[in-house]
Amino acid sequence: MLPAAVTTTPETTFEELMSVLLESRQATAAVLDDQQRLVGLVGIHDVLRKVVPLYVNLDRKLMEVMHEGYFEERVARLRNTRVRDFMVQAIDSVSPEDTLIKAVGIIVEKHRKTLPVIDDGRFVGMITRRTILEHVIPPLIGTSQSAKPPSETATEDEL
Amino acid sequence: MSPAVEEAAHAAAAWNYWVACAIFVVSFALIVSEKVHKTKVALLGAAVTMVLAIVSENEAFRSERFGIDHEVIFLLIGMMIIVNILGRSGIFDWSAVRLAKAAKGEPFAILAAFLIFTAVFSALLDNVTTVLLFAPVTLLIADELELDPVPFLVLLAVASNIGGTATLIGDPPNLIIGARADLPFMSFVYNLAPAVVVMMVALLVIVWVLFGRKLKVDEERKQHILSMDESRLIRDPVLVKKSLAVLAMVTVGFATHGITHIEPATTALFGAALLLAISNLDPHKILAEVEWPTIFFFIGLFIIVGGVVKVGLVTDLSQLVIDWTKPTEDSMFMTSMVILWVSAFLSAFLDNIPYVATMAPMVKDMAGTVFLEPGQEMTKEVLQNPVMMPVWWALAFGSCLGGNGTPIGASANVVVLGIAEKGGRKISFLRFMGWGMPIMVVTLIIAHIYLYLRYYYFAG
Repeated sequence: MLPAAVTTTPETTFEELMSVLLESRQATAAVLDDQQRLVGLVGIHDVLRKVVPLYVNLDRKLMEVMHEGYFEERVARLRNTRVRDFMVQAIDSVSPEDTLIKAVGIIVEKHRKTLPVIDDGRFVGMITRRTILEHVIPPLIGTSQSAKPPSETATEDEL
Repeated sequence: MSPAVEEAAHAAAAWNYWVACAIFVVSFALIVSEKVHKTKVALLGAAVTMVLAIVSENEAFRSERFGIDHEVIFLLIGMMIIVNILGRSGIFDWSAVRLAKAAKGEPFAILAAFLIFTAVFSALLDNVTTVLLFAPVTLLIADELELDPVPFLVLLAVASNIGGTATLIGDPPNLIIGARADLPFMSFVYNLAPAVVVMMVALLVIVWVLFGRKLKVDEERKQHILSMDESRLIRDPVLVKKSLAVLAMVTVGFATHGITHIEPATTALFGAALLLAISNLDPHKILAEVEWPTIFFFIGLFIIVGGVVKVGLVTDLSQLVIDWTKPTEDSMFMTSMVILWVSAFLSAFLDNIPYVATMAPMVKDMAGTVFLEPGQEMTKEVLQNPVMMPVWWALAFGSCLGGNGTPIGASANVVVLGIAEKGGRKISFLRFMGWGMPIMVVTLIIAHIYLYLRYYYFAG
């Protein structure tokens, strides 16, 4: 699980979100409502998706003729957008009681970069590929520490 | 025949009549409800029609009157192949940017150019494909000009429905009418295109007054359009030349049908086969992209309608129309006008393909009742005599133009709505109707006046 997962709210502005992400050096933040319930995820990819117009989906060639500065203009136009405008729903999540293999299985099979951990409706943290790289794998191959299910690695204070 | 045998035959005929009617009504209702995919409905209806022997297999597969009209089917398939390959070349994107640049980035001029272009290509190709190929680049231009793309998209569909009215291959109802009445390609152009030109002018005037004159774009935005390099949009320059050459050849083939007597379906198949042969494309891919659901929808419909033609429901319907509009051997004015308006309003809410698939045999039957003695064979001369012609044209105008009334009236509209939604812009039913319905009524008034002047006032 991620040490101090980055969180934000649906009403946060694009600018604030960018500074939160930059400061935490994380690519994805969890979007929580006032009851600390997870309402979505938002990351740099979702921001970029807003920059690229949807219709290029139908015809990628069209990007070839967009004017110089199109990207810059679109990014500037996002300035006043709120997180709720580009967050995506978190389809998959795990609970602290789930096993590590279940969490890793979802990450691999569904190509997720992040997986929120939800305990009884409340957001408690995030598992990312980097958490696995930095905190889960090393003890298994190097030290005597045994593998812990997500429930044991789940609390923010512990990590 | 003994009385008992006669009675049994009678009972069987009555049974077939009601079963065929039931299949027809239930299928139509399910297609209208849109709860089940229309192709599933049409195929199941057709299969039931055949299993219950209302139409025999031989009739379903080989009779034009009671079964599949293969001319329509292969014409559709041939054109779908040609368009698919044409679309891959990038020529539509290229043309759109060229037009936008020629219009100097002026929004109304761009819109007008796009609408005319769409109308012309919809007359030569299938409407749905034209719109499908033209909509993404329209979104790009609207985006670069920072204009709301919704009116652009809606008007694209409208222009494509109007343009498609002009030719035999422009819109499926015309295909069916052409096949049933045995009318040549140029006959459609000669009789429908003049009115379509007037309708397009009217469309542009309406768009200018209601919307176009208020469109303003600053110089910088116009520069974005003018600085586009459209040559980057061409995917395959050789393919552009090949597919345009084949399209030109096919169009000439259609136009000279009256002289060469090569039927349109043959021409389209030849064009498709030639283009497949000279392009380096994988036939698996191209053929997989033929809109088979549409093709099978037609196949199913032809058999279902064949059933109600065979049992006599269509004759009964035509008798109703005769009683109501009183056509005579000298004039069918009332019949034409009623068919024009009724077809339009029905086509606005129903799929116009099943509608015309039912109406065309009905009009044919009506011609038989009015001009022929009982037992006489139907001939081309009867179907195409000068009194009958305006009835066919009224059916064509009504069912094609009616498609503009609502977002579900024509397939091009449905496609445009889908693209708008994918592009993040939902177009509501009423917003579409706000544009479509008034334009439909105006074009119908033009068709009404045109039919009256050309076939009654000046002909009389």
